[in-house]
Amino acid sequence: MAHADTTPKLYGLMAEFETPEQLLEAARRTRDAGYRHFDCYTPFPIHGLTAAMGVKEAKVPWTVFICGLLGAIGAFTLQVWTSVVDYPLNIGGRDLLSWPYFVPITFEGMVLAAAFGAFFGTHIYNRMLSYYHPVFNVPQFVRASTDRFFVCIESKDPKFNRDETYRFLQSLNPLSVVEVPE
Amino acid sequence: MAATTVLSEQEVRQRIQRGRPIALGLGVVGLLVWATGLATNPKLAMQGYHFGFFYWMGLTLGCLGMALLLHAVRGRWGLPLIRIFESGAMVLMPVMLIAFFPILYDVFVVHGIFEWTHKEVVAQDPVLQSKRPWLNEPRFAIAGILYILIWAYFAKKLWDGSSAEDAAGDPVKAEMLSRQRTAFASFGIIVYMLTYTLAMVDWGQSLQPHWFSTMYAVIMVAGFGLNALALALYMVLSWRDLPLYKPIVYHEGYEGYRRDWGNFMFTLSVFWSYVAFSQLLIIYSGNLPEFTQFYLRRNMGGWQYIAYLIPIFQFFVPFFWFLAPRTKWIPKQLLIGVIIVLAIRVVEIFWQIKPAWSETLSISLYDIAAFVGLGGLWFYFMLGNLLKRALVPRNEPRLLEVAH
Repeated sequence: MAHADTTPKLYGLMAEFETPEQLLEAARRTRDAGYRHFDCYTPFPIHGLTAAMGVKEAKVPWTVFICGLLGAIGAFTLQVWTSVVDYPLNIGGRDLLSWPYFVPITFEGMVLAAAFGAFFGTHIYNRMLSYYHPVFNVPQFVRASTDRFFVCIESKDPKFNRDETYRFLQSLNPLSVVEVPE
Repeated sequence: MAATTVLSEQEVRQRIQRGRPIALGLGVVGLLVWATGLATNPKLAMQGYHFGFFYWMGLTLGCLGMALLLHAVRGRWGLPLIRIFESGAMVLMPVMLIAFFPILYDVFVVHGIFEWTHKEVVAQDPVLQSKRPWLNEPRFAIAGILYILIWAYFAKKLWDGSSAEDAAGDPVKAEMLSRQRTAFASFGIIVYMLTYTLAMVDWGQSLQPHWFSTMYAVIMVAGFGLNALALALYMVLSWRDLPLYKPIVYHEGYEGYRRDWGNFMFTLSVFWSYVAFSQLLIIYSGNLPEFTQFYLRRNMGGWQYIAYLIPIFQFFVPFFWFLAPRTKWIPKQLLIGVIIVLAIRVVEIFWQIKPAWSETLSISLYDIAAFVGLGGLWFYFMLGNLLKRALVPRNEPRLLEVAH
């Protein structure tokens, strides 16, 4: 009976650095070397890291903007539909389309939809609520939340090659380069 | 560690010195043209003067308000702008005080501006009679002078405090002085809001003396705060390629000063929209004659076209313009937004003031002449104040870092 292959697949290769400056340099050179599927792990936000990694414009702001716009349009349309088209009521002789009354609800609709956009957008794009991530298989990685800086090049990157990528990461003068099992 | 050695002010000072005679010239010509109106049509001339006075007084108070706010919260974003705000606030004394006397001349002699100064109108109007305890000429005069003196006191104290920091010699002592002033400035904000509210009753709301609104002063505080910030940013961003402001404007630490500036423009524009719209919504809902007359007057006879421009250019355009991160990253784009706001502010104040006297859309030569005249003088003295000291605070560690 043939056994299934139990050797874990490789998630990627991870290099460990001591200072944010080294990490910035490593991120920049990794991007310049043509890698696209890689990520940096730091204990605190580092100014200029997203630029060094070549991350394109973030998606969350646009999601929030579009959700907010749709929320505002939706709320306004709902009010116009209910009080002008579907069930017109004469209130104090005012116009049926008394738009100043619609503004607070339009605003609230925008806020609500934009907040949903921010909440779900952040969760979806950051793949939050996932209970497992391979990087935690590396023992050193616990220090990513205290005093160490990591770059991980993922095996799904088309340029990824176990030996070449290993040599490339070594050329960045890290403290160590380790394999990250899936 | 002295800022003067790192940040050279020479070029900016030359620009200001070249600008001052132009401002003075515009001021003198404007006021001379306006003065011809005193002989031919004094009432119309005084109405034009009141528009000019209201706008430039509002801008002065906007500068004072921003200076009080900055001294209270000690925001890093305001350090390059604070001297401009302080210089604007110092125009109060003696220029704006003197500029107030023509208004008093009108209240006691010409009776062109305020309906409640017409004896025969008040005699037939029980509502205005009941308002006499507040809306009477001597009270108006004394209170107006008193407001200006109180504001001038706060402006002077902030100015002196800021100068003392320059003289302190080292950043630690300057920091201590700056911290000590936060309580004074916070107290100043309370006094400012109370006196501002009363002044707006006198100078703005009493133009239509039957009408009143609790939102009016807040609308003006927000609008002129936005106006003062836009003016300061216009100056700094116009000088962005000169040695003093270049490292400040293009500074990228903490993602740059200009991001904070853009965000604050956005905030004040939205705050203004919020209070201005609230007043409309409350009056629209109440639907009572003494309240609706304000918007009726400003929504017919041609004024409605201006009424549409204001929300477009003071809310929708700035909202999307300053929301975009790109705007806050590219100084030129920020400058364009600031210019749009500066332009619409004048239009809005004209729309707030002028319809009190004119049911149809109209603009007189004296409106323009008084506006330009007072504005020229305002800039002449404001820029003069600016030249009296270092253009940005010395001994300020949070500002010195940009020079490195």
